[in-house]
Amino acid sequence: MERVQSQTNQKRGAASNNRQRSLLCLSGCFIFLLLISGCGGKAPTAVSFMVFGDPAEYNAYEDLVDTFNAGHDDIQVELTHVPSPGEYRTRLLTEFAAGTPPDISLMNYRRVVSFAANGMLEPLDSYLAQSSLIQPEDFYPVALDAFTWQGQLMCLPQNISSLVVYYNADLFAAAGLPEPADKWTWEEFGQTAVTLTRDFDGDGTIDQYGLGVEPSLFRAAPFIWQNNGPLVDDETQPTRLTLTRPPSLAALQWFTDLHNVAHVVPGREEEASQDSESRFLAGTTAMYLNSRRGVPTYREIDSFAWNVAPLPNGQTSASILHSDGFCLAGTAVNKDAAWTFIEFANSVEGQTILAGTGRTVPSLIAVAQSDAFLNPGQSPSRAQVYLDNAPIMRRVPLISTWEEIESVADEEIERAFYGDISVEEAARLATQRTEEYFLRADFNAP
Amino acid sequence: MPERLSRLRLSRQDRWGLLLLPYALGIFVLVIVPAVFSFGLAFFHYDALSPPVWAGTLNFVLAYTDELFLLSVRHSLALILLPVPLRLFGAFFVARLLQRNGRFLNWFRAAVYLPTIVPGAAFALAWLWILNPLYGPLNLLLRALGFAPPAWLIDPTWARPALALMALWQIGEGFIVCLAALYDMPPDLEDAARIDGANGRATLRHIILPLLAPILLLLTFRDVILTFQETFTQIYLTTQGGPYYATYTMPLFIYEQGFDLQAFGVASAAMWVMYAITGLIVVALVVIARQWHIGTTEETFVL
Amino acid sequence: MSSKRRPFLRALLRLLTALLFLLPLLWMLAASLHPPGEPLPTTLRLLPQHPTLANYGRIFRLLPLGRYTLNSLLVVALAVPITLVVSSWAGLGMARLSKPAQRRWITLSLAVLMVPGIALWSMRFLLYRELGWYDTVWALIAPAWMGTSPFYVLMFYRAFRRIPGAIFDAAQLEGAGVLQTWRLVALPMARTTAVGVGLLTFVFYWGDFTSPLLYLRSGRHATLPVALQTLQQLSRSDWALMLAAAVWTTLVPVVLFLLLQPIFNRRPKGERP
Repeated sequence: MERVQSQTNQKRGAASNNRQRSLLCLSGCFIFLLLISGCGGKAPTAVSFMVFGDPAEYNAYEDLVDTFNAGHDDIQVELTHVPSPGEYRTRLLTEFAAGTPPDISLMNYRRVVSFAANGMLEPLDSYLAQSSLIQPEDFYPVALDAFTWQGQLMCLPQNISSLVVYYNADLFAAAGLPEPADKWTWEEFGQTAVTLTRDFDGDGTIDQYGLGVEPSLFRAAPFIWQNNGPLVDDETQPTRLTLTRPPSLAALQWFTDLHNVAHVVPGREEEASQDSESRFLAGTTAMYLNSRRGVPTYREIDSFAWNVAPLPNGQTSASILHSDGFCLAGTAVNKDAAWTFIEFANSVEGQTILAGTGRTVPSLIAVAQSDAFLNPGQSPSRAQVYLDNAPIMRRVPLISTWEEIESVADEEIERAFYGDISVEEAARLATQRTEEYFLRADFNAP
Repeated sequence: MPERLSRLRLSRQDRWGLLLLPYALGIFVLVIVPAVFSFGLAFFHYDALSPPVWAGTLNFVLAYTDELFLLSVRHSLALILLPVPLRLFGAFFVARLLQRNGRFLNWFRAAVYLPTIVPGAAFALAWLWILNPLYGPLNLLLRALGFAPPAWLIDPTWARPALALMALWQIGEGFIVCLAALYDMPPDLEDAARIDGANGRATLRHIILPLLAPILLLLTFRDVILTFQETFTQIYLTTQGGPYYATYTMPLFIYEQGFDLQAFGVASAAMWVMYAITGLIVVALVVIARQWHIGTTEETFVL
Repeated sequence: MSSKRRPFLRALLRLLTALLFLLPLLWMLAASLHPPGEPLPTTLRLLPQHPTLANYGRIFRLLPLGRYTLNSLLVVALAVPITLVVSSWAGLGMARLSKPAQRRWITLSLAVLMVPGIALWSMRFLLYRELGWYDTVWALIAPAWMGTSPFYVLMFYRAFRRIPGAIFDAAQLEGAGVLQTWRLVALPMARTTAVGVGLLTFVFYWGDFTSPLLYLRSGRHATLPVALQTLQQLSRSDWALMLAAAVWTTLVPVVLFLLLQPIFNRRPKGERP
């Protein structure tokens, strides 16, 4: 400060000329005015925004935030990125607990409930009702439903992804197989996987696997539904898992047989040594089950052609919703400014930016059906598959302890998948071990 | 600063004592206060969202009836039993091997110490690769030698031995301490014993080990605490407590209760148990030491 | 262990031991040179057929590793000097106290050493929040204000205790104050200890995994261990990529250690006036 003054004094002394002096004075006044007006309220309102995901996803949100900031002088969105999904929830919980969460956070619908149930989120209905940019009817209903807690919309969904089959078209061609049709059965799916599982050099080790899938409840769930089996005893007020019911058990049995009987999926050691997604990328696994999130990475593949197909159908067709929403913290100071950003991110313009990265299946029907998503020039060319899933998409129950329930059930399903225990045993253990979480849970009572 | 100190008219002794002030303040603010609060929480229900509610000893009951808690205690203890003695003997014998006279001795010593300065996260990733069941160099080597190697970290029976194996490479601290202790030994002692006709093993048993006992005891003491309480990084990055809880230890239980489930009371109760077990082990070690009359004099108590 | 009869055997044993300890590091280095996209090795060989540095380029493109490295350097640049001052002051203060007072401080220090680190996590989180240190570099170096670990204080205490009291009395007679005595008399006599504590502190902060995990939110101040964890979660099976980052993270402490190594070798620990 003193140095600045002395510098100005020196300059002033050097400026013997009157005109120069008045100029300096003028500019000084101008700067002073600027400072005053700056403090007077024109400083942009800061809004913090926290996301998770890999670098490709981070870049997508950076684009989004930059576009927004460039168009809004009065609001400055600051992006915080937590790279690992595993830490994201812990981090958010800690921040909410400490009372200073990010104003806006991106959350999966399976995680939102534990925050919503504790009253940590600001319902968005009234904001959405007043919006001139977006209306509830613009969104796929299944996505809005997944973020509706006790009759209130807790977060604004940005995508409606679902589980699909990614396949290596070159491996299909090499095996003389037609690419999967828009409708196929469990049997055809299993047969395809068997044909594509190969031991080229006959040394007893499999060199190419037909299928890659994570042994988890979330991956097995659509197959349970396809077999008309229930996941829980009551969709809105569940009190326990129902994996032990015959149709659920039969679906689980089919799911684990993919490894234990058909051997079309890598075993535990193989999976730990090199996971199925890496095998798919390396061209040594023919089909891989994943949501839309893998697309930015798969688009970098140049050694083979790939595409997507729907899940095979059991007795009925079903897929499972993957969706993330923009959530507004109840403690946010500038809720209106924060909403302005949420609104922008989920307007046609905002969702078009995110769709351009390949990462999302837009939750706005208009954007999902536009070239911004269906983009004919880009892989996967069968992008319509994700949209066809919308009517048959189901979601896991909305209860506050769902994450814990899933992680416990995953442990047992994994053991059954790799043949450590029987499916019956796994279903029984999963049901038994998750009971306490159902007891502790908050339900979605409207 | 020195002028101001003398102006305070403190005795010289007090002025030396003032040097301890930052340290005292530091441990008070960063250790003692947080520890008191944290241990105090064991008697409350606390989820960090609403104010703590008195819970009496319920949290201890909750922890004790949690199967995972008992499992984590067992595994934590098992992870002391195997690696700590191995690390200790490893450190001692390598120190003995690299004790004196020889070419490149300094470089050999540097090589032994080197793995210890590898950052924990990098070390964990390196071992994840080395122990990779199919492509990892260790299993490729074992297979080339005609063995049928286990799947290490993903095999429930081999996961803990694998962690013990990893820990064997980071014994630099114990190695340096043993080396220094061997140096401090009168050099002619060993020669005298040899002239008296004692063979190598006898010299070791009757002369060197008794002299080094206090140091070895202190190293055990330190290693037990470290292994018991600070195995978090390695396990978190390699197995996350798996496969199927085979490496699920107390720090993991406390982390999950506190940071994942927001059950800070239960986490605190588990800390009490952890502290009590540490205390029991330390007391047991001190009792053994008293029996052998080692390490109890003031001169040898601290290194 | 007979040193006269089998010198060759002993030299060989020493060489093998040294190699055994270096083996994990060599394997780590070799695997980081594996060409991206090529199948993983199924036969034992130390180096891949076509070694490449490509993975080192990839980690810098994937993550802002340059910034992470600078952050790590900033952390140690702050933490190491602070630790050295605080722990050597405390060590000296302790060594000059009366015997019973020394005992009390030793007991206190050992008790503090026994407090599980995990017991402090949540409370420190709240403390840093209050101090405004959360999500800043200060949260990462906070333990430096207590000398990082009582263990280091005890190391200095042990070194200073060996200095005869007469030397301190002489310094006092010449009019040296406490701080002058510390700087001009005590520290130079405990140089090896100081370098040792400095190195241990450096290694501790450089490799600290939990502090950034718990007390940082944004990537702005993230250090290299965060990058390793990120890579592990992003591409679990891209081994060459992860190991390239691991080698990069290991490089600085290893170089520093090799540079400082001659100091320790002069006469390990045995330094006496």
